[in-house]
Formats: sequence, structure tokens, C-alpha cells
Amino acid sequence: MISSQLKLLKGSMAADDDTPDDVLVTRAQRGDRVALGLLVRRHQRPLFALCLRYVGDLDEAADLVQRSFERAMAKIGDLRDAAVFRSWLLRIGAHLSLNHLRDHARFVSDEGEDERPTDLERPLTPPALERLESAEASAALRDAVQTLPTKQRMTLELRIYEDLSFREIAAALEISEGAAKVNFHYAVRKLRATLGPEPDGASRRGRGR
Amino acid sequence: MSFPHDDGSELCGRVFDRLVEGADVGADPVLSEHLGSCVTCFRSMTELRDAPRVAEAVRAEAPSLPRANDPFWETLAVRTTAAAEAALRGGTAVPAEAPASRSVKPAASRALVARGVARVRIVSVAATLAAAAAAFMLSARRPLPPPPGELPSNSSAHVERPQRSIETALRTGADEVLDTEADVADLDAGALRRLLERMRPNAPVALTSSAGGTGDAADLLGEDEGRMNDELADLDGAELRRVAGSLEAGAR
Repeated sequence: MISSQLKLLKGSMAADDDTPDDVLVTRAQRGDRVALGLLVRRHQRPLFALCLRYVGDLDEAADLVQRSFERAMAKIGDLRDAAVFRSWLLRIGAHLSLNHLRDHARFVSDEGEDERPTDLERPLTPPALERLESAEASAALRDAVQTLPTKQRMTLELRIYEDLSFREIAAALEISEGAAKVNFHYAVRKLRATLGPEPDGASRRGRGR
Repeated sequence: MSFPHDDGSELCGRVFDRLVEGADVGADPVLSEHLGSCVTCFRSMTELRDAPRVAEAVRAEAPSLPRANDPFWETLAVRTTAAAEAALRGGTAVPAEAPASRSVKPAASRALVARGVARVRIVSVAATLAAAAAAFMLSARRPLPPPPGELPSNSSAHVERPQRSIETALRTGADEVLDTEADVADLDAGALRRLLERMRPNAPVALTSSAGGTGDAADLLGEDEGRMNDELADLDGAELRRVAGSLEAGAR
């Protein structure tokens, strides 16, 4: 009896998992807790990943996920097209993360800076040199991404990490599709300069995401 | 914002669209030919050709996430759902008359409610002040001046009828309507305002200054004034006459 009820519940949950976002959003607005829970479970992971990329701390990213959903539900009436809920939610998360970074900027310290000279004083073996160069390149790329203008960074990340089309990005950021493409182009141009020339023989095929 | 090409031609736009989407421009002979002759498009192609490499490098920098079956996700989902549900309930789903929703209603709703309350208070205050001013006028027994913009007239016909009616109403009690045309209790906000305007020149300064009929004036009313208005509204004819007498004495 219980197992059959569980199967039924799982079956309904599975069916709900295929339910489009706009339907779940409408149901959640009517107070359907199950629909709201599905929305959270469906989108919390990409949202968490986005917040983590900005703040770099698991706990802070989790807090930002919660705050993003809170904000989204409080402002759900402002969402013109429920079909773009995901990108809209990600945009909220990005904004909250940027605000969080700005608010906590004063707590950034220079800890660790003093240790670097002593590390660098030691002679580097070739593998260590490669690792250092790789680490420096990574840091430079991270810095380059972080210093991109907000719209360019959001466009780049929504395109690269979330695999959104330019139309979806445009809807999420409330800009034109052309502007989304130009933002992506500018972001790629800047990061390309940071990365340096492409190594010989590297593949030049594939899409930009 | 448009695509970043100098001439802004349609061909440049089509080339840019294909390049940024990662599509093969060479598949279209027209675009391919244009690409070979346009420096701007060629530069865009060179830059966007590196998009996959940039994307790969950026993805490689992404921090690692907890595993999919990690309890972390369920914990996060539970707390996030609870918080989102509370936000949803507070933001949109609570009936307007529920007191608990007031603090979390959208600012626009709060402003509308505040304006509605202010309007009600304006009408209430105007009615009370009009009654008090009418009583004052009655006991002062001075002829009323013509409304602003009207030539002075020896005839006071336009004010005599309401004056008589108010006098009757005061004599028989404020709740008893003998002459509906002039009973201040039956006047709407506009009529009250007009009546007040006519009486303003002879009314005490303290009364007329607080009944300007604007939202700002209503916003300035405090709790004490509200209580005073309520008490004035409860007075009967004789009491109103006494109040009018004291107002007259105060005006002197």
C-alpha cells in the first residue's frame, strides 16, 4: 500500500519534473509548495554555481541562492514572461552576488602577500615553472573575467555556463539580442587578449560556448 | 546597440550574426566574398574564432561544486523553498485586508492605500470644519461675502438658503435632515469644499489653514486633530453653538 503510494508520488513528481517553468511558476504563485520546490531543485545548482563563481565561498553562495529565490518570489509579478524564469533568476543571482562583493570589498585583505616572495626566492624546477605559469595565467583570466563590465560578464557566463541563446540572454538582461551579441564579442575580445596567442596546431573549430 | 562595424551594412550584420553564433560564414558565398573584402568583418572573425578557446579556459576556472548526491543540495533546497515560500506569501498571495501583509506589500500598494486614507480624512475633516464654520457664521450673524471672482451684491440670496437650513439643522439636531439641499452631512467633498471656500474669509485662521483640501494638508494631520474631529462630529446643535461662540471669542 505504502509502496504503491510512493510509486504514485514518484510518478507525479517525475511528471512534474517535465513541467515547463512557466507552468510551475504559475502554480507556485497560487501557493503550490510542490511546484515551488521543483523550481528550487531545478535551478538551485546552476544558480549556486554562478554565485560561487562570483563570491568563491560555498556558504556565501548558498546564502545568495536563498536570497535570489526570495527576491525572485517577492518580485515574481514583475516577470513578464515566465518562460524566461531561469535566466531571470540567474540575473537576480548575479546582481545579488555583485552587490555582495561590493558590500564586502572592505574586508578583502592582503593576507598571503607576504609569503609569496619567500616562495619565489627558491629556484624553480621546470615542472614547477610550468605550474606557476599556469597558475598565473589562471589568475589573470579570473581577473580579466571579474573586471569585465557587468553586462559583458553576465552575457559571457550565461552563454558559456548556462548555454543560453542570445535571445534568452537578451530577455534575461532586458537588452536587445544585438546588444547581447556585441557584449559577448567584446568580452571574448578582452579575454582573448589576456589568454595570448593561440598555440600552434590547436583546433579552431567549435562554437563559442 | 548595434554590431560594432564601421559601415553598418546589412552584409556586415549578417556576417557578425554568423560569427558570434559560431556558424560557418564560408557556407554562404555572398558572405564569404564580403568577408574577404571587409577589414572590420575579418577582424571580428579573427576575434570570435577564439571564442571556443576562451570558453574552454573560462570553464576550466570554474570552482568545483558538491556532488549531485551530496546532502548539501537537499539541505539547500529545503531552506531555499521555505524562504521562497515565505517571500511569495508575503509579496503577493496575502489578501489585502490581512494586517500581517501590510509591512511586506509592494510600495505602490502602500502608497495607494495611504492616498485612499488621506482622501477619506480630507472629506471627514472638511465636513467637520464646514459644520464648525457654519455654526460660527450663524452665531456671528454676519452677511457672507460673495464667492471670489463674483461682483459684490447686496442680495445674499445665494447664501441665505443654506444659512436658514443650517440654522434649522442646528436647532433640531445634526442628524435630523429637514432640508436636504443644505444639510452639510449630505454634501459631497466638492460641495463641502465650495461651501468652505465661501466661509473661509470669515472663519478663524486656525480652522481654514488646516482645511486646504490638499493631500499634503491631510498628511500633516496628527492623531490629536483626528480625535478633535471625531469629537466635533459627535456634538449636537447646542454644543456646536457653544463651540462656535468660543471660536468667535477666540477670533476676536
